[in-house]
Amino acid sequence: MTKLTQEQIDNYHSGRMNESEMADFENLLESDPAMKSESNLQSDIVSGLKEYRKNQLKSRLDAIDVGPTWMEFAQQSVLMKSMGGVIIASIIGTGIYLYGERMEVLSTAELATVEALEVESIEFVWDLGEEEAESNNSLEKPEQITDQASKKIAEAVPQIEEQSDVVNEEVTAIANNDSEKTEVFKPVFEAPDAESVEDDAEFSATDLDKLSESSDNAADEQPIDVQTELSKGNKIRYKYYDGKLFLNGDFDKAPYEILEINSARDRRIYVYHLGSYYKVDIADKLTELPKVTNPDVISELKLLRENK
Amino acid sequence: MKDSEILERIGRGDERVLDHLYKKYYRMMTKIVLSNNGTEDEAKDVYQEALLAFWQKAASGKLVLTSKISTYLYSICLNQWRKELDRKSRLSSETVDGEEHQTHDAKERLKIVMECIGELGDVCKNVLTHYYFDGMGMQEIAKKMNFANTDTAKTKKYKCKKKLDSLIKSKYTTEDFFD
Repeated sequence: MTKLTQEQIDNYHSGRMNESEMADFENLLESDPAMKSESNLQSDIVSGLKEYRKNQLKSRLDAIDVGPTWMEFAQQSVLMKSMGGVIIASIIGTGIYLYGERMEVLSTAELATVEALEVESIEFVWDLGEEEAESNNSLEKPEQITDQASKKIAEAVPQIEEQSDVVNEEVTAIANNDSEKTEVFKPVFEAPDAESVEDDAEFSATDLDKLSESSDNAADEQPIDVQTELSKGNKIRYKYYDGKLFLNGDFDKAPYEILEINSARDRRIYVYHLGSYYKVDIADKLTELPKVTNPDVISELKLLRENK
Repeated sequence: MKDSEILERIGRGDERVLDHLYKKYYRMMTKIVLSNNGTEDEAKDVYQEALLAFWQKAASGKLVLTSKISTYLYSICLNQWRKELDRKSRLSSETVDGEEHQTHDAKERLKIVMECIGELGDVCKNVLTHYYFDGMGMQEIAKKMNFANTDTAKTKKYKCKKKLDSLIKSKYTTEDFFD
């Protein structure tokens, strides 16, 4: 067998022939039994190589955690229900945090957009400082919360509408987004049911256009969606994917702050809590939030945080 | 990441893009199967197959994308799941004995080939799979695998393939293969 035919067989099986070359090759093959058996052997080998690589890539994909399955989500919510009042109380507390956040976002968004003209800038920063004391009280007196909360909703909604008229497009986007969030979390106050917290926007957003659009914009204007869960202990654990951040930590003692650094190419997210900075990476499992140790990054974040 | 950037990086064989895509569209694509009588495992299989078919086309530069990647993936998943449902319904009504016998032989041969590939070193495995599965050119392979130049990649590919051929030929008995 000449080298040329060997090469032809190779090109044929590796898909490096055009249609007319393939037709010629197949004709030739019919009249040459030796070449045909060699070609069959090569067909096996190439299939094997393809299969091998496919398996390799599949196990790579299998190793990627894509987040909890439907069943796991259901189990989680059942678990939460069974834990009863304590959890519900902390969810209410969390809810108030989130409302506070939203209002803060609105008031700082206008300010932040002015600064956000450089390539790398803070899109927005929110601070929960003022809400902290209130939610501490409210955890002790559950009846009051509902009152306070509904008052907050009443205050927050017109504020959102008002602001979106005045500020530029970007802020409008944030405001709209926030009013969406307001709807998502509303049930927490009307009927303190753990399940409604789990019912997050991610699942309703599986519509083709909506999803691809939001992911295209992932690097720019969309602020991340934060959901918190209170727990004791000094570790902060988190999950982050699809622009949604879950935080689990002791935010009773001190509020957390989210720092988003958006540049043309990527988006970096940091959490500030009790004097430390943490880096948020994509994580589908509840993971401990890693502390930032690089002094350069810390000083950059400090600068950003203090200049907000 | 923009679609054009994704394609460009796949062309370089950057598997991190695969991870990124997998995560990004997991819920969206598996939902096709899940909401059409499929299990979680079937959904994952269909999605992985679709994503790898996309990867293979994009890596070999044969893909002319006329829509968004998500739309493209969505249509492959949809087609694959339709095919699978078709196959399932045919399987329940009739079974073809001859076909089954043939696939058994093919399976045996595939097993031998896979074993032989497993005996190769990592460099050979990668060069060959990049060439035959990903359809990458010698230049891309050289870049990806840090070879000095395209010629080194060509030589590697030639030698590795020869080694694999002879390994397989030594394990294939004549009945196994040369009918």
